[in-house]
Amino acid sequence: MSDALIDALNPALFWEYRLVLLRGLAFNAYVFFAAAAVALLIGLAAALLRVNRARPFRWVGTLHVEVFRNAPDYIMIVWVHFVLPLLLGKLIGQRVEFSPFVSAVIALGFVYSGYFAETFRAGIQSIPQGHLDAARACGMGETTILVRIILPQVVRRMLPEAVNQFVSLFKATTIVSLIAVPDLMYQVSMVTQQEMRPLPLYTWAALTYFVVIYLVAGSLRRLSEHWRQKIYA
Amino acid sequence: MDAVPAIRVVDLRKSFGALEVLRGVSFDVPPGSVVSMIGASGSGKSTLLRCINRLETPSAGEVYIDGEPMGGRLSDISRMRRDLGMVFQQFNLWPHMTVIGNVIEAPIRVRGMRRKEALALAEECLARVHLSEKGKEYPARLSGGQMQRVAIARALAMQPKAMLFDEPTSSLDPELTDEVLTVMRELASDGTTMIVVTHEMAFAREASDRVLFLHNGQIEEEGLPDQVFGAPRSERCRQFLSKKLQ
Repeated sequence: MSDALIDALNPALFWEYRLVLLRGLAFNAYVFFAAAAVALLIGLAAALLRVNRARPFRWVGTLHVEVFRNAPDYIMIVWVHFVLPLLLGKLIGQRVEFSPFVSAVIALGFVYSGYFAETFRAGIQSIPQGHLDAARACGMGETTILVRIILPQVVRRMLPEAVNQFVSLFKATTIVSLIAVPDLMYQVSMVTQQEMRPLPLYTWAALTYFVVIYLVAGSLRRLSEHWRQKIYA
Repeated sequence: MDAVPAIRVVDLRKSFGALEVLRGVSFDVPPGSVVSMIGASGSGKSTLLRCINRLETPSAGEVYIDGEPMGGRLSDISRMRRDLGMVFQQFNLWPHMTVIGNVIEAPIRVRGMRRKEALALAEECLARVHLSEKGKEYPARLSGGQMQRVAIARALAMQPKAMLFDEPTSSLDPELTDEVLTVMRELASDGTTMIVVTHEMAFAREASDRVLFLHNGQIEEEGLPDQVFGAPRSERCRQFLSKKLQ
């Protein structure tokens, strides 16, 4: 093996900076959870608009989905961080600034809300009309039906696809260093500036991401399968 | 003086676009009585039933429950629906809840019953459909006949003033229809007010107090079971029955 290759695979440097890097990984997790919460909430709202009886609501929902699903997350992060504050500032006549963390969460949350909206919509539309008829016939109101009859089934149905989207979202958190969110990639580039040895750091950062995502997604899949089997036996 | 009918249907009409499915249907269901509705597919039986509890909105006409008009506001409709249990052809159990969960859901969420009370009530209702031992199962683990009996228990748990059955045995294998019909006969003899849309002629003849024959969205023939089945006045009813009873 060449010296460069041996150096690239050497974990020593990564290990030496493990605390700082681990703190970076924790930031990936913060961004992920906050963005996932935003994506789920906004996605559900957009999905409910898309299945609404009134056509204008459906248009708004569709517009939302198309705009955010087709926006590259890289550009969204930059835009939300640098342009959106200017726009909001103009609107309210005050200086607005987002912290990098907030910008990252808004940008990723909205981009992924476009995907989650479609997953929610498909899930909602897959609930047989009869389940709703039965609930209405018992005198249930529409909110109760949504919360007790529709969503619990939608969540179970959408889990396999949602796990894939969570994986994509987690991977997307690696670009938030772009606006100086101190995540793992940001820390890697900081250490690189001191040590001038980027290759082992990037190799082991990649392996770390892989192991974390593989383990978490795997157990999520197993959990959801176990949970679904009770119902769709 | 007659008692106030449990359900009174007055000149009910329903169109889907240009298609007129119900063309003015009126009848009374006295408390404690069983009315069977028979007729060919497409005669409007199921639509009529679904208009009674407003799963379909009638184009015209009115439905009275215990003398009270159903009203047009959603909150009024929801309140009236509590008093009308409905059983569907496709059972429509909620698959993410256990049998017990299906039965206690509406009493808790709609009637505001406490969980403990609802559980006691559910056990009673499941006993009436002979499924006491299945409470913890999920619907996917049950046979069609068992699912339909759970659906009956779910409707009973709302302690309704009347029960509406929409072809309750039509999607069951022949060997499973009896267990459902037995439960329905028991309900009928307990004095439950029932409207039953059915293709089970034997059930309609033996278990009901009154039979309506629907044709083309109108009541073509109506009377006591023996009269409708034994000596139908309408030619169409006679033809329908002779085909059914062959």
